[in-house]
Amino acid sequence: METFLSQLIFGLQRGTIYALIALGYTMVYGVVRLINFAYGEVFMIGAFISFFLVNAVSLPQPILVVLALLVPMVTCSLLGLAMDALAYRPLRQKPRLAALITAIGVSFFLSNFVSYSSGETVRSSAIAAFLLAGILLLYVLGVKYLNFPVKASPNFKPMKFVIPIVSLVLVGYLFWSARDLLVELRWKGSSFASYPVDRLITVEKIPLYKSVYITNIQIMNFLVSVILMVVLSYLVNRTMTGMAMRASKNNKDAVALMGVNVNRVISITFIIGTALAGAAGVLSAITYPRLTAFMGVQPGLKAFIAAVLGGIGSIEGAMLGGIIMGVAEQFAIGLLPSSYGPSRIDFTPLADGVAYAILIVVLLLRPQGIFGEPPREKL
Amino acid sequence: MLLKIVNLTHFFGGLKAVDDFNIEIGPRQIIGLIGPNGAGKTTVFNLVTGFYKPTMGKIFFQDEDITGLPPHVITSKGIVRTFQNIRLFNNMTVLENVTIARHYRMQYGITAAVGRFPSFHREEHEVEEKALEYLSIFHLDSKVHLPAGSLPYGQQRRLEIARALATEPKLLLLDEPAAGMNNAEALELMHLIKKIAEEFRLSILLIEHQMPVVMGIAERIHVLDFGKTIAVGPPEEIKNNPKVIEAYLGEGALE
Amino acid sequence: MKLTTYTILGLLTFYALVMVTSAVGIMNDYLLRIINLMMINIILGVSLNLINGYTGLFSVGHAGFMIVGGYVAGFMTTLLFGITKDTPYWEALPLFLLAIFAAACVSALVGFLIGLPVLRLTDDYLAIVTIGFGEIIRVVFNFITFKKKIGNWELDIGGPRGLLGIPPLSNFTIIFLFTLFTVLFIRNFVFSRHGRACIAIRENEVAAHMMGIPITKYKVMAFVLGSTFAGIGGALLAHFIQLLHPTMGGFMNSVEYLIIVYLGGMGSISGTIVAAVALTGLSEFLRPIGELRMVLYGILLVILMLKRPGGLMGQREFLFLLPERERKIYATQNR
Repeated sequence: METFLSQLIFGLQRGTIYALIALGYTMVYGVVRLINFAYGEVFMIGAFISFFLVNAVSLPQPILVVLALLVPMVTCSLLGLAMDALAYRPLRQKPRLAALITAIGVSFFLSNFVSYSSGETVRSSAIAAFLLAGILLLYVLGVKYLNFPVKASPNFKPMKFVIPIVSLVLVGYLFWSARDLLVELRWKGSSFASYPVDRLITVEKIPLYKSVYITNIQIMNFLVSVILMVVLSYLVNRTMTGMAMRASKNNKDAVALMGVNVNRVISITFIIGTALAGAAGVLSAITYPRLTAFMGVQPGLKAFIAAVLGGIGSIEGAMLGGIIMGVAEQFAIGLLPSSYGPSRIDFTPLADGVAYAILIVVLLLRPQGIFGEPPREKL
Repeated sequence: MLLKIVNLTHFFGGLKAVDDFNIEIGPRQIIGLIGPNGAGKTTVFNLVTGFYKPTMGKIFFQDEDITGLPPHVITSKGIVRTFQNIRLFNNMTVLENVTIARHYRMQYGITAAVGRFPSFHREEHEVEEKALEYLSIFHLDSKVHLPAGSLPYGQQRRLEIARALATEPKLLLLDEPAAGMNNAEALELMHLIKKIAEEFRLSILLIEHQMPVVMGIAERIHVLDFGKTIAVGPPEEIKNNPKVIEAYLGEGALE
Repeated sequence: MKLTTYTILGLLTFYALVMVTSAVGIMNDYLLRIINLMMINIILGVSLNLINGYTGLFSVGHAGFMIVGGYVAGFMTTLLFGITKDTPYWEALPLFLLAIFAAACVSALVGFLIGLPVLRLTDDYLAIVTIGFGEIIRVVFNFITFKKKIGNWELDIGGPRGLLGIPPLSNFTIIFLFTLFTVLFIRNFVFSRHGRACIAIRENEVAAHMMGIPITKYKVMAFVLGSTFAGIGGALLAHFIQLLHPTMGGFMNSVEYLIIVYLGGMGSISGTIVAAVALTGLSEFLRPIGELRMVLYGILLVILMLKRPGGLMGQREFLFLLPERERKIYATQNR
């Protein structure tokens, strides 16, 4: 009973992280039928940006926690915007396969870019990431507001630049101020960067029941996830944008005919999805403080499977699917005999395979997932 | 009876797309299926050809129950259809489009294909001749090696029918073959359809919005509205049926 | 007829040239190594093109099938038959061929088991399942570290360390013959009723189904055939680079094969060959810049899709690669 309960807590924590990423997958898939494979990489970049931030500034813990969450979310959503504008939007009228291949290319690029630039020192990586983000952003902003490279738009509103530029300057300042601090933190090849959790929060165990306890990190994790999901539900169910989003799931053309700017709806979907993935990256980094350029690959895949499990396109499904996935995986880790057990064979690596076992079972029994509707072929 | 449909009903979620549809088609009959948009005509086609599994009801073809069989099996039994929006293999040549239709009548296996056995050459030769025959009926023989997607619209429509015929069906389902054509073109197509029906001893079930086309060639017409059959009868009767006129009111399809 | 003769002569000349120059010592080992790698990549690229290019499926797990073939063959030659570097070549060869055959069979079986349930669903699922498959392979081969003594053999496929000490049985002749076989097999398949069925599915699945083509059967067939040749490629690769590692079956490697296919052109064997040769050469050339290559690959994939979705060759073929009938048609069209 006690092991069950504590495993459940750990599993739920794992699950909420999967759920946050899965939401991004499912929302974008619902609207544009695209599997954006790059969410795992957004997750990784979110974790890294938070890492830089926390290392760079010294502020009181509560303020720092909020910043460490919000700044990566904002940066990641800008990244999502750039991804959509540069890679996916030009392909919207092309066969879906082209977009799927592009998504793989984007994911491959992001993870290898960070891996490559982190080969030397963290500082070079920070500067490279900053430059990359800056260039992408300026390009997107140029295209969006200045009709770059054509000509200046007549209804040019300089005010729209304020938030992006301020955040850009802020991020730039963070990287700059972090440079001396980060030179010492080298990580190369198979090694990794350690997320400085103790600068954010002092870990405390709160006993619940006999030997079962919950840490304040876990409480924070749950709180943040719940708040984000509530905000999301509000956005999707109560606002006009959310309504347009839900309508786009059924018929994009009809939504466009109603005078809604579908591209804007899609951009917002990307922004929300990537912001959630960024938040998930931070939460994950706090819980498992090992950062590598490829840390996003596995959670990204598993979150996608969670989205499939819940029924791709369904928001409730992504939440539930993520949590089921996390709990199942945690139980597998807890229950599989480890090398300390009687058989002396370490079975725990197999826990990594649980997600894929779930995938296979879902595909065989109910390919549309828990909340999904059976696919209807449009003839 | 060639085709017999009994109490066919199909739901999309809570929506009754086809409600208790019955039809009997004998050999060498041309039957029309009309109705306003969204009446469930194409759904009937999708049910007959196996793309949808009916919620209720049975479909018999030559006294054999074919309900719920997959499309390629139904094709091999002798039912084939065209599509409302043209579905050709755009990057394949006109000739290849038709040879695809002969696929299930060909025998040679993978080994024969990879080893280029005599059976491969013989059958490939035969299929090419056969395909050219069908293409010449539709006056497409000068275009055989062009990509199908490069043909003008009217020829694409004709190619689609040629391709369907090349499966040697007993029953041909045509889904708005005259869509997008002007009156003259549509009438020409109507004659062509009548000709091939006689020549190939076919039965045809025809969905069509252009009334002159369907009135001119169908010996019996079924009218659907909201999935329900509201009238059955010969063209003259249908033309004056008040229910039908009501269903079409505002659409201006009936002159 | 003439072109066919020239093609055969050309291939013979190429073979003789490589053999003679390497025997005399003009061709150094490094160059020969690159040529061999190019040919192995042709095998893997062409077989992936059958799945992704011709049939229009989206498999992202080609390296997974490759590594399965590699492990099966490597396990057999190294552990089961106990072949080492010092075993006389003519003694080892039949066993090696047997191992390649077994590798092809196992890869085909794995491809069938994965393909059958998944290919009935929409194309997105195949992508995710094949990515997952690469991960499962990694997990499984990482996990199997058992050592067992059976008679004189100690069974150990290495776990996370990888399978080491595989005998160098893949020489130029073997790789050359298998490359030839693969290209010829897939070309003859593609230019037959079976290949046409696959292409029709890519062009319009619904219409293909209506024209009497059992689409699931053909999707599975293309997938299994592609996996089979991936297994053969893996067996050759394992006995060429002499080691196997669980991560070799992962996503990263699969993306390299994807790039070969999409750069060359979906549905063009010629394009795949050009791209395999070019990219293998290029990656040797770019070796000094190391990981940046991967970054460039990512960008390359995106730019390809945006600017030139047809790849270098589109769906065209070199004339000498076409079967005679298609060559004649080409000639009448371009007179």
